[in-house]
Order: sequence, then C-alpha cells, then structure tokens
Amino acid sequence: MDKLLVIREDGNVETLYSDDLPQLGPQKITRASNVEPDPDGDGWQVQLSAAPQNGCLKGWVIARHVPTRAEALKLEVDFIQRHILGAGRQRQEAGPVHIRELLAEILAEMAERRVQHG
Amino acid sequence: MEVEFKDLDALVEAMVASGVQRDWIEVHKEPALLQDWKGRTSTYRWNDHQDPRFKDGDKANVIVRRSHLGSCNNDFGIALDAKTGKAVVFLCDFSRQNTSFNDKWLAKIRREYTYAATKKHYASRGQKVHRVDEGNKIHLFVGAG
Repeated sequence: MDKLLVIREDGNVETLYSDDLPQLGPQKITRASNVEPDPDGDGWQVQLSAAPQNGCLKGWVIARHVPTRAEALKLEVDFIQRHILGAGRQRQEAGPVHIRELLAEILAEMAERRVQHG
Repeated sequence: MEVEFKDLDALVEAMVASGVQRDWIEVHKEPALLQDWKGRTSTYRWNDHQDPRFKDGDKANVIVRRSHLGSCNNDFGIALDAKTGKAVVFLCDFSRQNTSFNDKWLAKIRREYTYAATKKHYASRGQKVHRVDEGNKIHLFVGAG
C-alpha cells in the first residue's frame, strides 16, 4: 500500500512518521506500535502501543510468529494505515457494530496469515 | 502535524479550490491594509488583541475584498508571519454568521491548503499523490514517481 497521509477536518495531518514528510508545521510524534521478537522465540510479533490514536485497539497484538522482521514491518504499516488511519473506507467512531466488523476483519486476516505460514 | 499557512501559492490554490474566484484574490508580498464594511481601515487586531504587528491597521498577504463578499462584510484576509509560521485570519462575525464565507469555509481552505502544499512537496521529489475524499477528510496516497 502506498504511504497514506490523512488530512483531518481541521486541516491538520495524521500519518506514519517518515523523514520525507512535508514540513507543514510542528509535529507531534507518538509511538504507534512495536515490532519485536515473538515471546515464543518463533518469528516476530507486532503489537499496537497504548497511544490514544489506537483507540479501542490499544495494546493489541496484531500479528505473531511472522517469519521475517521485514514482513512484520510491512504488516505493521499496512495494519495501521488500514485500521488506525482508516484508508479505503470512512472511519467511524468506535461503537458496538463497528468493533464487531473490525474484529471479524482482523480475525480473518490473522487466520489467512496462519494458513499462509503453516 | 499541525499545519501552518506558509506558502502563498498553496494558499491561493486552496482558496480557489474552496470556491473563491481567482480574480477576486489579491496577493501581496508586503501585507496590504484591510477595510471594514464602511470602507474605513479595519483595526480589529489592534483593538481586540493589542497585536503590535497591526498597530497601523489590519493587513494581510491574501485578500478578498468586501465588494466580492456582499454588503455588510469586512474584507477577508490572511496574514502570514514568516517568523512564527502562524497566520492571522481576518473573517468578520457578520460573514461567519450570515454568509457562506464562514468557519466551515475556512476549515475547507485549511484542508485544501494542506493538500496543495503536500502535493507540491512530493511533486518536488518526483512523487505523485492520489487523493480520495472521505467526508470532511482527505486521504492522500503517495506513490512512486
């Protein structure tokens, strides 16, 4: 997925940090997630941080046993852009229906990854 | 990222994208004086905030004169401050409450400014930006050149 910048209603920008961002004004940078060796010692784990922008998904482990760090980093970016920044569909305030849909989507993704990696 | 108005060209592009006719927009490298609805030099910034930059009157780099906004409006203006990066917006209460040149319109200008400035940044790096409007938000996808 291409890099996503979200221009909010007030004109400010939310995005994943990179050194080539336009210098449009002061930046507030918070850690969104971590990629670390899986606690089982098998591959890599991706976990969302407790930062407020992660909303109801704060602290979630979104991937485990990912074979390579490069793949884990890619999963991390893809997940945050799709589910935190909300690429591809309109973000809604967290509510029971939205969370059920989101959980179903995430569980389906995780199941697909388990199938792919055995 | 908190966006500040710094780029005059991007600001003009934003105003046009927000429905202002291009030939209504005055651009002044050195800020020009604004007038109130009676044609007098506008002095709100000094009167209300004692802002020393505007002791001689409200002035702005980008102006839409009240003749384009409708009677009873003051001139609309945006003054850029190169040192602080903070812009001062001159939008009178009558406009805010009675016309389409109001706070919603101002928010749209901000969003369009961010889009224009971001597109310009990535274009200078040889990269293209694809825009998808999502309600009052704009999603920008930055691809390879």
